[in-house]
Amino acid sequence: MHSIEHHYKRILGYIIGLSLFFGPMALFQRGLLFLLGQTYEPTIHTLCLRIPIEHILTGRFWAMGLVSVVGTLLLLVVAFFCGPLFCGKCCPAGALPEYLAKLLPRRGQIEWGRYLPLTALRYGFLLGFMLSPLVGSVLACSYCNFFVLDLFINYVFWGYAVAFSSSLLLTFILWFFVFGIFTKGGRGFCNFFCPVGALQNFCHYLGDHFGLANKLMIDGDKCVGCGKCTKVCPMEAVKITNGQAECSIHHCILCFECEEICPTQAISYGKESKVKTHAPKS
Amino acid sequence: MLPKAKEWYWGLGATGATIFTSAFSTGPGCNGVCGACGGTCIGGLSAGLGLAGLYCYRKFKRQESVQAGGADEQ
Repeated sequence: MHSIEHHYKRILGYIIGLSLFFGPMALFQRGLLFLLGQTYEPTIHTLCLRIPIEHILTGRFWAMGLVSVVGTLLLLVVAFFCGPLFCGKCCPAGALPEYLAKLLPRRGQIEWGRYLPLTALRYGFLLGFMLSPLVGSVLACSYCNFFVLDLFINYVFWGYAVAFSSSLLLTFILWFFVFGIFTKGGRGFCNFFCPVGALQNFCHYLGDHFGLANKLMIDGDKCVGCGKCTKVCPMEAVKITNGQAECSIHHCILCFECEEICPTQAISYGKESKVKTHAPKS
Repeated sequence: MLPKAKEWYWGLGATGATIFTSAFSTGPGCNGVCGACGGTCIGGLSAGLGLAGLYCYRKFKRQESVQAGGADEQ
């Protein structure tokens, strides 16, 4: 049974995410600024998660803003042990197209995973993103859907529409339309262009590799291969192979949509040793 | 093994395309966002996406014709 309560909880999580990370409230930034004894005005840019990630390979990670560095580290440590809970529970920039995509008929939406190797493209973009400062360029702001959402909330509604210029206009079209509402699940942008999500999934993979992470597992004895989980997964992370569901740790954002809809309760969240799993490692 | 390796060619392609696109923002005074130059970053990404789209479309049509051929045989 796909419970209404589950959806309410998810939507509530994204509303909390909106007030935690986006201005004018930006409660998370305010809290961190207070704890770190800093005084500047909190906005979405105070807690930029992309710029520190972009500078991991250049060695300038630690030179980025203190709030951004602490926030990014926190996010990656949580992802290592628990998975990308941030994406599945409180990222409003990912949730907006996901929920709007539910309003469109499924036949009008592209299932990218049928034609393209999602994992390779996801990590390929992440690597390119992290290598770009080495050729002297910056990509962090150009493809930032957080920035676009912030423009909507804090600028466009107040008459500053010119903020949508150049690359951000293209980001808006990609995030909201091409890889948003016209993509199965609505999270194509998360799958292809979000370095924050990709790095969290990679950390989760490492945590799982060392046996330290909790993850979604599919009990092969209970799974009947009905495919309901594949239909509700917004990240195209669940696939049916040889009559069994498989969940890719490189894409799962822990939204628990599959766990909710599973008629045989074959899907659970925990450490691998507890339940027999058919989830692949790659 | 080959299909898996082939997948990672796509990954390397994505890496190359990202670096190529990012190179558009190395111009003097470019912050990669403002659009004051007329949006060369849009040009780079549009060209990359256009090529990727064309490739996917051809792959899709080929797959479709293979499926149609299979149905005819049945």
